[in-house]
Amino acid sequence: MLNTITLLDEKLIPAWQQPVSVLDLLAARQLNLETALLGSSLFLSDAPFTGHKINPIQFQQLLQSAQKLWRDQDFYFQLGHRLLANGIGPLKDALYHVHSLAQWTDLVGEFALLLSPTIYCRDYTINAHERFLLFSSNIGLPLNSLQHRTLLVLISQLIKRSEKNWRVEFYLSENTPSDVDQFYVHVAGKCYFSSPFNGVRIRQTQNNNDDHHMDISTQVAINQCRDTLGEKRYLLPYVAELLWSNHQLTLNDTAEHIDTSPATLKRKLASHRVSFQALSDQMKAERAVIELLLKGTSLEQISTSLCFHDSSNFRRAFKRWTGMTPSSLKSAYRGIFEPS
Amino acid sequence: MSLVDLFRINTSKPSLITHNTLTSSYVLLGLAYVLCAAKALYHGAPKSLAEIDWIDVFGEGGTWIISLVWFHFAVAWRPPGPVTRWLMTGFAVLSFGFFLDALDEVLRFDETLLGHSLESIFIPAGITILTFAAISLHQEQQILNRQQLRREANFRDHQAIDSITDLYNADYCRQAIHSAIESNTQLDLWMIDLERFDKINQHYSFSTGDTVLNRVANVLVATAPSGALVCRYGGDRFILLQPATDLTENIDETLSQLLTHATSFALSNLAIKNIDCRVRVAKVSVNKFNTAEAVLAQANAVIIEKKQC
Repeated sequence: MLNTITLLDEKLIPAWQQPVSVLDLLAARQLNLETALLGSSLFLSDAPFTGHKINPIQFQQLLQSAQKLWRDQDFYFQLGHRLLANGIGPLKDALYHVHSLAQWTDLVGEFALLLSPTIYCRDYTINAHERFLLFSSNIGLPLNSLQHRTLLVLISQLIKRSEKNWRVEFYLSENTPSDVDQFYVHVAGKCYFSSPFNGVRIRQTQNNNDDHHMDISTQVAINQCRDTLGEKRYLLPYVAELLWSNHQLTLNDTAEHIDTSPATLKRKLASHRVSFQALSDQMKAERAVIELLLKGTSLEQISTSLCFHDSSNFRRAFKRWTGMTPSSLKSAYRGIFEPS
Repeated sequence: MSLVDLFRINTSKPSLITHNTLTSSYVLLGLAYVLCAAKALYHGAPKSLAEIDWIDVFGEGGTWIISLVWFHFAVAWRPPGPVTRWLMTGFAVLSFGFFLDALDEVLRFDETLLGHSLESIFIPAGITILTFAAISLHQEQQILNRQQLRREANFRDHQAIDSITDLYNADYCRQAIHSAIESNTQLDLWMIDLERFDKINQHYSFSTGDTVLNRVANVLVATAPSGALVCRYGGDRFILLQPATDLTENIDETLSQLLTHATSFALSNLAIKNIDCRVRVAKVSVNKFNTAEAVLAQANAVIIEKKQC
C-alpha cells in the first residue's frame, strides 16, 4: 500500500490543537482533566502537548469522557465556539483570509482532519457561486452526530466571523433532535433535518468578486497546516475521495491506485466496518441524490454519468440506495432544495 | 482540627466560608458508640453461639447501618442550620437506639442500665425528634419554593436545570409553552439574546462568560414581573414567559442598560471593567401558534432578523 495511506491507529491529530481546546473548555468549569484524558494516550504532565499526536479513536474517547463531565447538553456546541478561538491552529487564519469560495472549500477538504478529527469532507461544485460539502465519518459508518454538531458550529461561525456574506444551509440526516434549540442558538445558518445526506450548501451572494489572489501570510498559514498534518492520510477518506471523483472504479482499480492487492484493501476497509461495495454505493447514491436535488439534472444524464447502461437499471439501484424512487424523493424534499 | 472545630455544628452561623461539619459530627457519634460498647462489654457478657438468633442480628444490625446512612445523607446533603441540626440529632439518636437493639442480640446485660429499658427510650425519642424535624423541613420547603419564584412553573425536575445559570432549560420552557397553548392561557414569550457574547468569551475567558450568563440570569429573575418564568434557552439566549400584556414599547434599550450595569458591577472584583451586555429582544404572542415548536421558531426568526440589521 502507498506509504502515505494509513490506518486509524496511526496518530495524525495534533494534540496541541483540538484536544487542548477540549481541556480548556473543561478547565473553565473546574472539571477534572485527568478523568477526561483517560484512554486518550495523553497525560496532563505532557501539557501543552506540543509535538504529541493522537488518533481519531483516542480523540473520540476524549470527547466522550469530556461530555460525561460536562453534564449540560450543549457540550459539543460550546466546543465549536472554543475551537474557533484557537483550536484549529493556522487553518483559522487561512480560512479567514481566503476570499474565493472555491479555494475555501478546497482548504476545508484538504484539512478536514484539523477541522474535525473524526469527519472528512467531500466537495461538490453546484455552479460558479455555489458549493456543497458532504460530511462522512473517518472512523466508519455512520457519522457521529454529536461531533457533527461541533463541526457545524465551527464552520458556520468561521464564515460569519470572517464576514464573508455567504449564505450557509446545513443538511442533517438525523431527524429533528431533542436539542434542536441548541442548533438555533449556536449554528449561524439554517439547519434542515431528515435530509438524505449530511452536508452544507454555501452560496456566494451576488456582489462577491471571486478574488483568487492570496496574500503571503495566507500562504504561510496554509504551509503551516501542511507541516502540521504531514503527508499521511487515513485510508477510508482517501478511498472515498477516489470513488467520489471517479465512480467507475472497481475494487481492483482502487487497489491498484493505492498500490495494494484487492484482498488487502477489502480486509483493511473491513477494519473500519465498511465494505467496498457499501462505500462505492454510498458515493454513487449521494452523487445521484445531490445531482437530482441541487442541480435538477435529468435522470438520463445522472445514469450515464454513473455509468449505468440504461436508466431503468439506474432507477432500481436508486430505489435500493435511498428507499425511494427518484421522483418521490424529489417531491419529498421539494420545500428544502431548490435547484439553482 | 481543634476541639472547638469539633463542636462547631452547635455554634455554626451563616458564613460565606463553608465549614466541613461532616467530620466533627462523625467524631461525636463515633465517641458515643465506643463509650457505649466499652460499658456494655464491662457490664455484660457475650452470648454463646447457640443463643444468638442470626436473623435478628442481621435484621437489627442492618436497620442500624441503614439509619447511619440516613444520618450521613442528612449531614452531607444539607447546609448547616437548625433544620439540619434537628435531622442530624434525630437520626443520631435513632441509630443509637437501633445500635443498642442490635447489641443485646450478641451481649447479655440483664441487670444493667443498657438493657431493654434504655433502648426503648432512645428509639421513640429519635422518632419524636425526626417528626419535629420533618415539620420544620416542610416549612423550610415552602419558603424555598418562594425563592424559586419566576424560575419554576409549578413542576420540579432538577434534571432540566442548567448548571451555569440555575435556570430551567429549553425543554422545560417548551413544556410550559405547550401547556399554555393547551389550556389557552394568554402568554407572551420574550426571547432575549445577548449581542456579541462570543467576544466576552474570547476576550476574557470561558469562565468569565459563564459568570456573565449567571449574572444575567439572576438579573432577569429579579426584574421579571410576578407570574413570569425565566429559562435559559441555550447559549446566550434566555426566555421570559409571562401573562400577556399590552406592553409594546421597545425594551431592548432599557434591558441592555440594566444588564450592562448589573454585570459590570458583578464582575468588578475580577478587575474586568465595562462589560457591554447589550440585548436584542423578540416578543411573540404564544397563543397565535398551534405548537410550542412554532412559537420558538418564530422567536428565533425574529432574533435572526434583528441580528441582520
